[in-house]
Amino acid sequence: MIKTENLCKRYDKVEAVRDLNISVEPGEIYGFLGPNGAGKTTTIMMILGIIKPTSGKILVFNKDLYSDYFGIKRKIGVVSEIQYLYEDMTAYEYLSFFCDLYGVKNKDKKIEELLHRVNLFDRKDDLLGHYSRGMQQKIGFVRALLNDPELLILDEPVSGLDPTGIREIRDLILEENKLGRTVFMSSHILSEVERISHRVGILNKGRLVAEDTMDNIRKKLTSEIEIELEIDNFDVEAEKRLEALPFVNSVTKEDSKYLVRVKADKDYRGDLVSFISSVGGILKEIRRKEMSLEDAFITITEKNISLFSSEEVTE
Amino acid sequence: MSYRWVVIRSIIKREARSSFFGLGLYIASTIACFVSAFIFNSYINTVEGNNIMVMASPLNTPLFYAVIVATLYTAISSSTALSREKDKGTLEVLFYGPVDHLSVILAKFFEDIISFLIIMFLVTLYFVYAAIATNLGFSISYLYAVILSIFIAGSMSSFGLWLSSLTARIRTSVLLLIVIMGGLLGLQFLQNYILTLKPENLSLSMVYVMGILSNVLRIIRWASPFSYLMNGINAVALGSVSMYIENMLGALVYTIILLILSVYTLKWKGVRKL
Repeated sequence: MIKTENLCKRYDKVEAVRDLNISVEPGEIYGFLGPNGAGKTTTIMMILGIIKPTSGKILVFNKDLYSDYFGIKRKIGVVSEIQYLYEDMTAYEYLSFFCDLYGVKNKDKKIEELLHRVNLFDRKDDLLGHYSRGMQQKIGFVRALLNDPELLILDEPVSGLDPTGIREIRDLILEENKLGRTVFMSSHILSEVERISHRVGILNKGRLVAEDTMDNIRKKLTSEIEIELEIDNFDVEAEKRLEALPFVNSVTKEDSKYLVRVKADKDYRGDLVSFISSVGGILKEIRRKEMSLEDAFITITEKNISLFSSEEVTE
Repeated sequence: MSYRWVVIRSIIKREARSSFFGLGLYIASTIACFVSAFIFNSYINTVEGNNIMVMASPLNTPLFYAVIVATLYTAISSSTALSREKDKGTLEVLFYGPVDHLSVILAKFFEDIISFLIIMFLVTLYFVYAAIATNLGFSISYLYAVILSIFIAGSMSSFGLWLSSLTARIRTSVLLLIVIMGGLLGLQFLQNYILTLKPENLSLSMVYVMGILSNVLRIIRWASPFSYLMNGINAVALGSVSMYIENMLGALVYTIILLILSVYTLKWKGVRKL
């Protein structure tokens, strides 16, 4: 769907994007992450042809944007962080204008259907200038969906929304993805990205430092996994035998709870359950503590490491 | 039909809607009619005073002033057309979709011409009323003047769009327009002032300045849309067909060059809100 090859953008002495190679596959939700100023919006603007790259190549639907500019743009829907609307227009007039731009047929039906989906149909004749931030964001989504896009590009789509608004937009993204739309989403709300993305790409200082599924990123970042156990009838001897297991790195005890750090090469939960049972312990709870996207993000961006080379990125 | 024309038509529709519901169009039409009414009134006073007034095309002078007002409106409107949208961020949103630089520039240009034609239509309605009320008849030169005014409006619009493509703020665009208009008028006044001086009183440096000024004004004759306006007025007043056609073609070429320049300037400066 989207492929960039050695994409670079330089502003005077600042390199906003460096040798960026990303690949967004059809049907997936791709989370595009990075700290402020990492180059996310610049990348999106280059994909849309709004900012000209300094060098490199961008393919959208396997084509150069300018080989079929209007055709490609008509298959894309874009939602930005801030909705810049014609505030002197009503929601209906605004959406009708964009239907005309995209050549949407049966526009009244389409507008009605989408406004119902975001619960704004009753406000269709209100001026957009009178809409709240959340309502404007929803109108931005409706605008992006008018043309039944094959690719949705979302730049910080839930930024500044309240929890209800975030959930509504998240549900909308998931629904659209189920309909087969590919979603390319940049966000700094990591929990949201983690919840819905199939793959993530992490951009730091203009460079892509990781691109994979969340599971694989975790695996690459961690040499051990923490497993929390709550065990009854587990004596000191059993504890010593637990610590001596070849795949266990360390054991920390607090009351009847044990924090066991095991090697990350495979899932050892089954082995632990068998062992506890063999020594007569009663397992009340077992929980694998996973590295969150936030942990991974902070590890990668603060330590400035690249998961492509498993080495620190040199400036 | 190329898809670009679908886009242009959609943007024109939106812009026209915005103009119809805005005040600018009606304020410009009202000022144009007031200025014309003032001239009609002076005619009536002349007839009252002298019992006679001899004039080949009495409607042309008030029409010229109405055209000046209408084209100034076009220049102001076009000079803020792109910068307003950049300032508000709406231009960027258009470019998320199937809109390119050429389609935006052409759409804004055609909308300016439509607005100009609406003003001219309203002004003509007033002129019909005034002609009937004062018994000053229409002549074919009125039609010539109206046709020429469309080309002049085109050059004004393309000039304004180019200024607008250079800037990202409404205030900057308007200031730029005022500075350029002021500069052009200033040069004109300076030359007129020097021409009033007796040649024997001119110092060597003044002669040198006048030579430079003369060359600058020769360039401005082709580079300023206001020159096409003034020359057009003169062409119709003099009834010179060759001057009329030359001015019309000059305005057309000027318009095309400025529109191309606007497209490249917009590409260079970008469409994003700063």
